[in-house]
Amino acid sequence: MQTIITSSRTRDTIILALFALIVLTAPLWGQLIGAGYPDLLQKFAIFGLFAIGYNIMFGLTGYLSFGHAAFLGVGSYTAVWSFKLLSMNAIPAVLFAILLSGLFAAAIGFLSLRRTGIYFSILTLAFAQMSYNLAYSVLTPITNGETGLRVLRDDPRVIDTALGIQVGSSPLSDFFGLTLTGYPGFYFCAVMLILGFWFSLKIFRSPYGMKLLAIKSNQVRMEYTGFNTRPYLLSAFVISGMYAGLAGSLMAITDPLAGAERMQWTASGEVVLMTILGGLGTLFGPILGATTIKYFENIFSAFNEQVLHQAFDFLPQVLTDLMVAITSPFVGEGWHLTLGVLFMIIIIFIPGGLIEGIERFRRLFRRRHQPPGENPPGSRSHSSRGPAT
Amino acid sequence: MDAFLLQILNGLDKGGAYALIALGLTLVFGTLGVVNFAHGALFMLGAFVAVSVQNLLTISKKVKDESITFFDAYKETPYLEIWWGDTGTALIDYAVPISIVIAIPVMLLIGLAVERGLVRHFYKREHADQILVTFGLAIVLQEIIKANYGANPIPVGAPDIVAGSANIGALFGIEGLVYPWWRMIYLLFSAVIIAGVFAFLHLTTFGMVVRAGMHDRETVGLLGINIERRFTIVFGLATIVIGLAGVMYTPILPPDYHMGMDFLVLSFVVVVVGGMGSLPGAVAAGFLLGILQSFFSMNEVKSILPGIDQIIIYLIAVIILLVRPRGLMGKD
Amino acid sequence: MSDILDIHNVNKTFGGLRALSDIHLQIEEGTIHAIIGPNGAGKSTLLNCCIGRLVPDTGTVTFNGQSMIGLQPWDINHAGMVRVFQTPEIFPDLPLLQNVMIPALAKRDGTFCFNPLRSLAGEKTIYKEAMTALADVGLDQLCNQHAGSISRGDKRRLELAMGLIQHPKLLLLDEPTAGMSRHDTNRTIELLQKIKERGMTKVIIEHDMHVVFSLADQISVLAQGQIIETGTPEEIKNSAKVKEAYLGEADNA
Repeated sequence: MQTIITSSRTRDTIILALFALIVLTAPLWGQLIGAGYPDLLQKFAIFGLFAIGYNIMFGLTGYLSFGHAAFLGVGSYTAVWSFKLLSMNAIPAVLFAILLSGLFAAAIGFLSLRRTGIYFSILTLAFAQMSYNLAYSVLTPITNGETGLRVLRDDPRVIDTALGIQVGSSPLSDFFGLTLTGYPGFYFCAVMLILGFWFSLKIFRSPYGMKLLAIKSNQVRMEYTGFNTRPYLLSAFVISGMYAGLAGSLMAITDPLAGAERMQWTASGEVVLMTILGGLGTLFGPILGATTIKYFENIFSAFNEQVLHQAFDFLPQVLTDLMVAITSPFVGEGWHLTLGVLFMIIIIFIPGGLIEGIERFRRLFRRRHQPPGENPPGSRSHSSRGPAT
Repeated sequence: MDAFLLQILNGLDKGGAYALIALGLTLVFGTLGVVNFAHGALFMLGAFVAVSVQNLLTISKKVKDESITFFDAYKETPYLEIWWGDTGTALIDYAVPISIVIAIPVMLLIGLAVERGLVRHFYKREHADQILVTFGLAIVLQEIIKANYGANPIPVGAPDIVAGSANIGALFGIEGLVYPWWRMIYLLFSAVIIAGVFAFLHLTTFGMVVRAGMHDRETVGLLGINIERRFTIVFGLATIVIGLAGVMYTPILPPDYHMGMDFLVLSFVVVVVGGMGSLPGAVAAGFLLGILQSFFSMNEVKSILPGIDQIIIYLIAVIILLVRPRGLMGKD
Repeated sequence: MSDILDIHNVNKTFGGLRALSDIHLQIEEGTIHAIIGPNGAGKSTLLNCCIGRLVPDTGTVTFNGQSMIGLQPWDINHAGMVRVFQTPEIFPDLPLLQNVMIPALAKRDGTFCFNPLRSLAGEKTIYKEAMTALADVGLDQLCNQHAGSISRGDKRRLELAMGLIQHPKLLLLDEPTAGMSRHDTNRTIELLQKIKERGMTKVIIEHDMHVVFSLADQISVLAQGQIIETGTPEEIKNSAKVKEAYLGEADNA
């Protein structure tokens, strides 16, 4: 395992460059795995950002929040309002979304962080449910309730009007004239993802990040060591809330619409799932988890009995029927069942997620090729949730 | 004044449900030290026991409808009705009470399976891990239900004899104050179950050990008492309580696969307001929150504080957690 | 020499139990002051009152001219009073090196410092300081090991390094050798003697008389929540009161 201190700056630059390369060439390799279309790739990037941000709170400090869906929702609504009032340009939408979700996170975090452990989790849960219920009821003038908030042709859009920019009957977001649908939309999200990853990398490699990990490891000791832990936790909470807001705004940018269902606490559950699945507290885990979940959701949801029959066609008829009977509850509508089972397996057997799984696999492989008795450096002894690359 | 009284009554039966759900949750947390996010899903399973019993009782075949003479009409007639006539119809009518009897062994088995198979391995893990794995279990359970029963709410009726409302206003000399029979029954039922659980914990040796365990788990473990087996039984007991709460709730709210998640948040709110691990606290908070929720749903209140009915429960939870982190009756 | 820590008229009761009564104690700057006493005499309670974990019912704790009562733990730390815990309080999920870097950063960054863009790899000074501190306690070989995986004795030495790296004005050591083997105890004594020259004031709570008499300049004897005697090791050895309350009891045991 690479500890924070021993990783050099050159190594980080290479990591970042590789990451950017992988993200930007996604349309190419996406095709190989059947994900080569912008709608899905966009989802990878958006949920990747959401999970990366979430990981900064839960992964580094160990505080389990169920409130992040609310920040995502705030980001979405803010972006749509920016489209309605100011301009269809994506930049103000993104900036306002980050700002507002950050403020929102600061308020909720300020109160919730007065408690730790399960009490913190329940406080965030309560705030998320309040936001959700209000978005559906009293705040209808702002959220448009169940219908969802959408961009209309005759919205004021003061900046666009001032600049004489015209919009069509169903306005689409743009980046200084470039309409953000299809691949331009994906690339916009991709750039945001790379920026988000860069910032997360910086945090992981900073003294600040190390202190967050230390809080997770032993918060009381941190206080006796001379740190006031509250501002550390609050700043991490706000940062991860801003990531959620950014992800929410990107949802609105790629599809100018915002609905309250994004704010429900179970939506926070989804980001927890992604982070855990990939590898909590790791740099690549969250994005890996988000991509995996969204990819398989896409594939599994599309499966139906016919597809299954084709897939098991090589077997004798009886076995085919049997296999289809066994697998069909797990695909299509039943995708969430697969997800739930997968999630439980991960928590029970590999709490470090996919990253730990890969690491274990590699170690197994390496050990076979090594003379016995020689331990690979940095074999992780007891902690399944320590920092990793 | 009538409206006010009615709201309190409405709140009472809701409070009964909250109290029952929170009772099981806090029992598991207090003794086993496990934060069970699958608790709501167990409530939902209880409700679906009632749905299954109703489905079983009404397995039907097509029978020629004799009342229609000018063409051949068929109607679905349950076997029970064909075999036993009116007795059969009565059995179907009493689907919910029958479900209670069936739910006890079914929920016990489910509870034992969950504890032995999953929860037991998480006693020593962090709360966050417990939350996550039981959350995963909740997803699995609700998806299994969805796959088998669909996504739409399924109505389950109360027996006809208690279908209507009681004119309890007549008792107090208040005009037009009516209260559905079933809600009254639910209230009584929850009172009986709560009393039963408390009697069990206070009057039996087993219960005393459990209470001692809630107070100081380590010491009880040191006494050489087989805590593990007792944990299993406590979990089974909590599952029965929540399952029965679910069965009885079906005539009030037609169950769907998602009701567990909705009630989960509520039940946690109730538990923290009462004080994590405090049984009397959970019961008191359940009724308190039920009544407050009803009260704040009154139009008079809503006109002053719009939207308050939507958030009041969470608002109270937040205030309690911030001001009195151990809840109303929690121990320090 | 002036007094760096002044404990004046401190009382503390738990329920009906009087844990500390009328404690008056002055710690002179630059000395090693040992507090000894039988189990349950109130040694740890006294330490907890100094460090802010407990608030005394009455009395004052003045450190370097500043009252410590009601201060947050981090403020007490930055005032220059650092405690080394009896049961190792470390960061089990972090490597040893980082365990020591964190208190060094606390010294530099203060109670809060938001620097997410700064690179940890660039913290050369802190890194060197931490390596030296680890070398002081003989743990530099293990610097990349997770702190949770090292032996209990090593954890206690790590804890000591975490305290020493902050160069506190006053270091409070709570039974630094409890549970250590004779060999480890001697190494710890050696280490504490070695750093004696650095002029750091230390208060040691100790059970092991060997440790106390080989290190302390001054000794206070605590029994049943009261200080019954304070003096040099020689004076304590010859004190009848102490023999009766403490050493006598040890003889009987």
